[in-house]
Amino acid sequence: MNLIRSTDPAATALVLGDKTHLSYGELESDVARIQKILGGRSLVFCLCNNDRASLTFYLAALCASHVPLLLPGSIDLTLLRNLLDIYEPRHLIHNRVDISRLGLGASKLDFCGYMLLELHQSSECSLHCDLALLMTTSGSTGSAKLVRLSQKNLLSNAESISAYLGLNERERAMVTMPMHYAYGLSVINSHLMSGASLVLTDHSVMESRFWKFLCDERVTSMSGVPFFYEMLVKLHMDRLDFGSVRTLTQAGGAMSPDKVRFVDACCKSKGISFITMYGQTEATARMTYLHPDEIQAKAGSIGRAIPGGEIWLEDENGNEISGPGVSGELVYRGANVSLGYAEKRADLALGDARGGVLQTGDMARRDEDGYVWITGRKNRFVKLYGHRVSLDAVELMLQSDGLDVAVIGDDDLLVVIIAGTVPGFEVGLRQSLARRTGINPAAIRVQALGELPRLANCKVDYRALRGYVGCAT
Amino acid sequence: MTNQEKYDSIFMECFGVGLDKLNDDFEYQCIPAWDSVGHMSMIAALEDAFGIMMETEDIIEFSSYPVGKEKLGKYGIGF
Repeated sequence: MNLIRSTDPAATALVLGDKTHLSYGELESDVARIQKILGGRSLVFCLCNNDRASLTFYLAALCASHVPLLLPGSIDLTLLRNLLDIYEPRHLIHNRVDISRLGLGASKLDFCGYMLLELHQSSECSLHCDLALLMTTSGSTGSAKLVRLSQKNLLSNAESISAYLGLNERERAMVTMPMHYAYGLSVINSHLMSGASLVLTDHSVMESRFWKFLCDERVTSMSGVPFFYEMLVKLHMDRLDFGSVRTLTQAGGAMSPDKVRFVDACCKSKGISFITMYGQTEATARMTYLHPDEIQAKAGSIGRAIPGGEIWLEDENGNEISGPGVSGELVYRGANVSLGYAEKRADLALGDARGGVLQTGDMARRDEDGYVWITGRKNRFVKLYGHRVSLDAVELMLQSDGLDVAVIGDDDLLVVIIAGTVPGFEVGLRQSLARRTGINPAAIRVQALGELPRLANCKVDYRALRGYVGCAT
Repeated sequence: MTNQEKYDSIFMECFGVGLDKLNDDFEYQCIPAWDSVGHMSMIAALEDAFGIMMETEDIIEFSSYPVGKEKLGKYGIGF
């Protein structure tokens, strides 16, 4: 599969951190060279960073019909070892000194500081013919549960994103998220397919160098998770110089409606379109988006299905819910719905387990105008004295008060972890939360933390929080 | 607590380091904890502790332990 569709070999494909411009022609010749060295179809682990080499290896693996698993470049060695043992890839691509010392195998190629190691000779068998790419379900935690994606998944999602964002070869997207993260990869795929340019940087919005680079390279779009927007707001977004930026997209978790409206108002005053989106790795990346014209009135809604997709709600018996106000599971149908999960090597031989339909596990309801709102996640409920309570709903409620919180729990216990408050604040919060929700204060625990633990993609690390507090959900 | 002590204690708490690490070489991304997330919480903690609201350019140019002191100087916080 070739994601590159550019017809102009002189057009810029990548702008590197040192401001070097790499054309589509140069990128394609690098890809062709690596493709030859990779040989026949195999499983390839790619330790990725946002750089030229990682992108080139990724594209070469896809072109040569290999199956890459994209992992964070900084993955913990123990976690990597575990994944290597479970999945037995034939190739490992990395740029790490500590891995070279493990003596895993001979390097077949050295490209821009990255090495291509051959680990096993005979593991090319048992990869299903539809399998094209593997993504992790929880990035940096090293979980062995992977999402199996097909060529059709990748192409259809990238085409769809390109269509609804109106991407073309004049776009220059700043790559602000890791490529092992589905949302980050979707930005890369959709822009390459549109013949646009990708601007790569190691810097974050918290550094002046980032903003200079953004203006110098005439970046036209950026994408981020809610925390990315928290940072922009902290930087007094209304006063920031966005240079040539014309589009900002947000996904990877819900932002409070107030914050969405605030960011959108800032954007509108600068002539920038702000597009909030919803998706999951299980659907390659994107499932829905909210059009900028609808955002002020419907901030917080997931909007409409992307082109070629369809969404509906189902009750507990699998019947479609048509009316407004009733909560049910959000279900999506589209060509981007993944083949299924893999938890062990043998699962890579499996075909399509979903038939294009994804039970998202997200609970949602429609409003009177038909707009869909996520109300929580199916498995993020606890029962407090017999009543179902959505942890996400409590979290959202406290976040809309402007608090930096995460809520976890067990049956009969709701644990609120709060960051960035003064000592003693917990006591009052417990009382007011009990008052507002009608939950007995005995079922509420409020704990202060200096900072909420976050994953590489900036989402709250619930697993770490649960370990810290000793809760199940 | 002196301004120096307040400043140091916020660094130690935000980044989980000892006083011995806080010197002219202590800069953005020198440890994993001082990434964009750590930066944001440190700025918030400094603003709270000193009762100030920092300008954009001071937040993004706050690139190291010594530069931070210069930045706070702009808000009348002396060391």
